[in-house]
Amino acid sequence: MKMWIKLGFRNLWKNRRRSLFTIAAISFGFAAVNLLGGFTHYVFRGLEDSYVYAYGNGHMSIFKQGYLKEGALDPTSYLLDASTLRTIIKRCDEDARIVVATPQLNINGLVSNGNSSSIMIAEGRVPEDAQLIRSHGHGFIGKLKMFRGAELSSGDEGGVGMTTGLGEKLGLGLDSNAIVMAATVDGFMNALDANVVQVLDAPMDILDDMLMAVPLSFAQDLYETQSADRINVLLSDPDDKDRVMAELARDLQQAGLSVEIHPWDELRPSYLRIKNMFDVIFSFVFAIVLIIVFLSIVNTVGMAVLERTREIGTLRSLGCKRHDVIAMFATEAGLLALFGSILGAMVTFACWAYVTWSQPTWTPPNIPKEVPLEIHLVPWLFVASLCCLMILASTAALVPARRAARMNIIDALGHT
Amino acid sequence: MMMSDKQPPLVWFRDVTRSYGKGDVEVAALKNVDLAIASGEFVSVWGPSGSGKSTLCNLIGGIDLPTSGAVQINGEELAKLPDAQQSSHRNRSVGFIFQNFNLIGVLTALENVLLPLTLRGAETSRARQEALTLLDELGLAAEANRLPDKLSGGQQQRVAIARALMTKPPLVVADEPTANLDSENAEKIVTLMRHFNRSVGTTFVFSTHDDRLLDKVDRRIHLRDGQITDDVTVAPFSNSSEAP
Repeated sequence: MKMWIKLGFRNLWKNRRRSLFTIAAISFGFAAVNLLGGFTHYVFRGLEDSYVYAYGNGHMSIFKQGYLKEGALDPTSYLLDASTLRTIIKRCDEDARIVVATPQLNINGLVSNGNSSSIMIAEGRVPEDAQLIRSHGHGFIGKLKMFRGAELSSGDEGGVGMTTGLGEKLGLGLDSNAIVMAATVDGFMNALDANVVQVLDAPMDILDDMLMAVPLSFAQDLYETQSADRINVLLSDPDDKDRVMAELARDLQQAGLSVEIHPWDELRPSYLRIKNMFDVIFSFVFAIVLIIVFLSIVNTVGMAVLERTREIGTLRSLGCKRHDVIAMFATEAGLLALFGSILGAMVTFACWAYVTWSQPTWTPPNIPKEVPLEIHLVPWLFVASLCCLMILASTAALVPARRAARMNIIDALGHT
Repeated sequence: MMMSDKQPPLVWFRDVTRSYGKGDVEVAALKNVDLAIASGEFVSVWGPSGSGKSTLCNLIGGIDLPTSGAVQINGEELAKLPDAQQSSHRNRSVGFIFQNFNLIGVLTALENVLLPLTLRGAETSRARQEALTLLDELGLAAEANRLPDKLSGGQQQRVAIARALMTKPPLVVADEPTANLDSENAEKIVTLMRHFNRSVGTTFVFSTHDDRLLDKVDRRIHLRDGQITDDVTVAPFSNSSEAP
């Protein structure tokens, strides 16, 4: 093998212009895959972080059994009562992997400015817990505020948030007074005074004229209940998600609770749709890169076989076996892939450094404001690209190398 | 044909024919050749162009196989061996010297000499030393680390001789080894081959069309139209050492 590496390296150097073109093609392919992969990783991370941290939903949510399927039509029948909430939160508090477990109650009803009213849906959360979850976000997500105005507070029960569209519809802005009305869990009409302390950015356009954020106590007072429809759980390490989910499910079942636990990505179907879309784009680009690299290698090795036909004949006459000839050209192709990948890694790193330095911004589909555009360096993708290109290059070399190995020695020696 | 009754021939052809092409365009380069060459002989194969000299050398060297008949080298019939074993045979039992030298352009003179050993994974520091000694013996010590394109034709052919002798094969086959050299260098090359023939006992078979070199051999095989027309032993071959 040492011999083939030496021969391969020297032959690449001897034909350095041709080698450079092939290495450049491989390096651009490597960089394209890794830059797109790094951007995709950033988008996936952004989707996860915005849902888990920025919107305060945590890594998993615990519901009463059947809430997601049957609870849509009759949500108040599928609430977790106060005793159940205490049991679940106590179990979560005992687990060092869980940062916080916090109840949430989603409500719907009407909001009025005194003259006119509009339908609304609101997420009732413990404001301090939501802030704690937000503060655990990575990078800019940890600092991202999805509202203007003040934080909600458990001490200010009437302080609520309202999306820009809803506020405009009702002529309400910061520090405006409103009345929020809804049917209680017992079916009676209830109304509470509210003060708009924050204007929210809706995560989706469709919610912009109806979404509100309220403290959990406000939502519970409006519904006249001590229950919640879910408990959101934030983990210190997202990789523990499956293990924690399984253990929680086991323990809560043993405690006699009929609950279901869902990870965040199941609760956010758009995440999987966007991920699938990016996966298809990535696969498409990767396939194009592989085809370009394959053809470049076949061309380069094919030329090498043609130019070195007499050398092949000489080696065979000196006792070089057929598989050694194949190994020689496969090694040479592998070296091309290695050098191309090294150069590609440098190009990727340079692009990453430029993007990090220039800090361009954009508005992603899941966050309704400009955020820094990033490209992540994904080590496993570097290694996978390298291995993939090395294997591909060696495989691509097999076609011309096999032709070289099967060459008649006399014909090869007589080749000019 | 000079051969001891007790010792089997190193090279043994029995009714060997080698044809190229098929059907109407089939051309027989060698026709029904019978030949035996004993170990230690210094043999030239000569004749006009197209007489079958190169084909004979290729068959002796095991880089070609007969269309019919049998070729035995060192008691082994190569045609019956799988390709990998034929390669091993060439690596261990035959040294090649080509008309165009055929050195590997990206390897130094020393690396070229070591190549047959490297191919079998037997390149050691001792072998490296032996290669250097061999190059020194051929007057190429100063050129050991030079690439072939920095060497003259005569020097390149001497490197090729060193490469052929490096594995100490019983047989060296040279196809027109002096064709691309001037007469002075041609004579030097043949003298060197003769020296190794006498000092080490290596059997040399080389083809040539240069009449002047025929004086230096023990045996001349003349070919015409693919057949041996004359096989003359001009002097009893000897294994005794003689300085070049």
